[in-house]
Amino acid sequence: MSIATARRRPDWRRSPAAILFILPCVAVFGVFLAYPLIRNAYVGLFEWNGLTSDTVWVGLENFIWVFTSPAVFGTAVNTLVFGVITIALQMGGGFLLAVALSGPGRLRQVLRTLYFIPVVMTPVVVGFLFGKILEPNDGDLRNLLDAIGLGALNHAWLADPSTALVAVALVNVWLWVGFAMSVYQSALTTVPKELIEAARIDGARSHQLVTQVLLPFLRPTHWALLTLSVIGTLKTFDIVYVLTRGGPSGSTELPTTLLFRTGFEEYQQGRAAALGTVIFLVALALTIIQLRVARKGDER
Amino acid sequence: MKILGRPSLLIALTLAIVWALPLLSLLNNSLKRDGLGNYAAVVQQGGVVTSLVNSAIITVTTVVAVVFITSLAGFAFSRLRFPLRSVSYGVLLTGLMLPAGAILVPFAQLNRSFGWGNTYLAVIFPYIALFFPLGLLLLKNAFDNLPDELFEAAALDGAGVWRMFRSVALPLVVPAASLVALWTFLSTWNEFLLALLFLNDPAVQPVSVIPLRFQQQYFVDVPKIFAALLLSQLPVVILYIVTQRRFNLGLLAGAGK
Repeated sequence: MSIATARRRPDWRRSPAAILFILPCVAVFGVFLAYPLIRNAYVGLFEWNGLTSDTVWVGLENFIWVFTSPAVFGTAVNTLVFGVITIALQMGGGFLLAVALSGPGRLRQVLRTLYFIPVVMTPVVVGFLFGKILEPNDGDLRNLLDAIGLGALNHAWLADPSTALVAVALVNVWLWVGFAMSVYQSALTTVPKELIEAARIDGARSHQLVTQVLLPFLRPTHWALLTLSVIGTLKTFDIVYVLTRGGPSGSTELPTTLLFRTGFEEYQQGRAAALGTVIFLVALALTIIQLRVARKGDER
Repeated sequence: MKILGRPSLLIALTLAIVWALPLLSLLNNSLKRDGLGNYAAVVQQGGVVTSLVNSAIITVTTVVAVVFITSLAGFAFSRLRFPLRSVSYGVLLTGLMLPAGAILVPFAQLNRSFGWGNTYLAVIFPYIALFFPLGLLLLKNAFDNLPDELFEAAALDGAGVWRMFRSVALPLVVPAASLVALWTFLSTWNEFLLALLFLNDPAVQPVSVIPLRFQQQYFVDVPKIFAALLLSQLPVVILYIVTQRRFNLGLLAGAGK
């Protein structure tokens, strides 16, 4: 036996201490995420008002409700519309802002800061603020339009079922565009200078540089943002709750607001628990699909 | 690096009006009627200051806990080898997909059985649970990106696993850890739903619940509500402006792997 093997210390990588390193996370996950999730799926099998200890076993009835109720179906449609508007504008706008504002200069720096400020603000506060701005009688938007002679454009945006969802989605874009901008901006700093210079030498015009060089180069960033945005859409609650509470007549109802209404205003905790379980599973499935597709693209 | 020229900057500048006006409206509404007197009134009521302190306590505790436990676990999942490593990592990350609203009912039950009603702990533990998965993702990626040679050299020096973590790896992931700290700070400070449901006593309520409380308290005195709203946003906006160089969100882009 050689001296080297005789003197070899145990591989630090295989240290049993690993368990201690992961234990805090695993414990928190087990008690405050896994247990609640399992418990939730179990509560979904009962009819329960959440207040008393009277529970009635109803089997899969609540889950059947989730998949057959027009209210839940409505939230799926709303989520799709809300998600497409938000994600398209947030990622498209964020990308263009990042390209336009990348580079040195005080003005660019100030604008980057301005666009990001809503991201750090409390969504509930943003909701209140826009509730006041969009208020139909004395809101700031109305006063502004009146002042510049465009009073004819005034509309009760949040009270009209045909415009409320779009209005809420646009507020959400105001809130989040800076996030996408910032992610793209960091990613743009990794684009090799030579790539841009070579494109310029080849005579690429600005829009060609953007669409043919930068967009494809940032593919991993698009996917990361898309995945985060889809999860973010499914989690959206605060801003809708404050602006419209899901109304008028369900036109802005999202899965989370419906869940809150069902469980904590109508006291049907069994149904709410079943809905919560399904929302989680949908988010999980969508994320796995996106990661698969993104990875396939990378291999090509 | 500058990519595009002036025309695009001009468009971004024009569009910035749409982003600036709502912020000005927040300020403007808070000064209507009594001007700065609105601020004096809401501060004297005491509620805002108490809420700011509550938010600070809840947020700092959550941030410290999340950074601590995710640095440890991120290091282990990245650099150590143990059974079920990638499976357990994947399972922990499913927490990313979980809307807080989906598990309100069991959270309420847990709080009841731990006797945490109307205490900071009623929200701190759920916050740690909800916000640690993103931190774990970012920190594991950061540990993954460190060069292997670094650890090989330290192993030749006979470094044990704790020294590998504490002296070799941890100092090099400070940028990622800072981002985790900042993002957890914002998520905690701005969280609304759990605070609304689990903290009913104004003595322990954080600032995110202020809008609803003040709506009842001041009802028609809208400028006072807006003064309180603006005060509640100052800490996060100032924190962002002071630390914006550390907001390297590019770290998130590598997170999709």
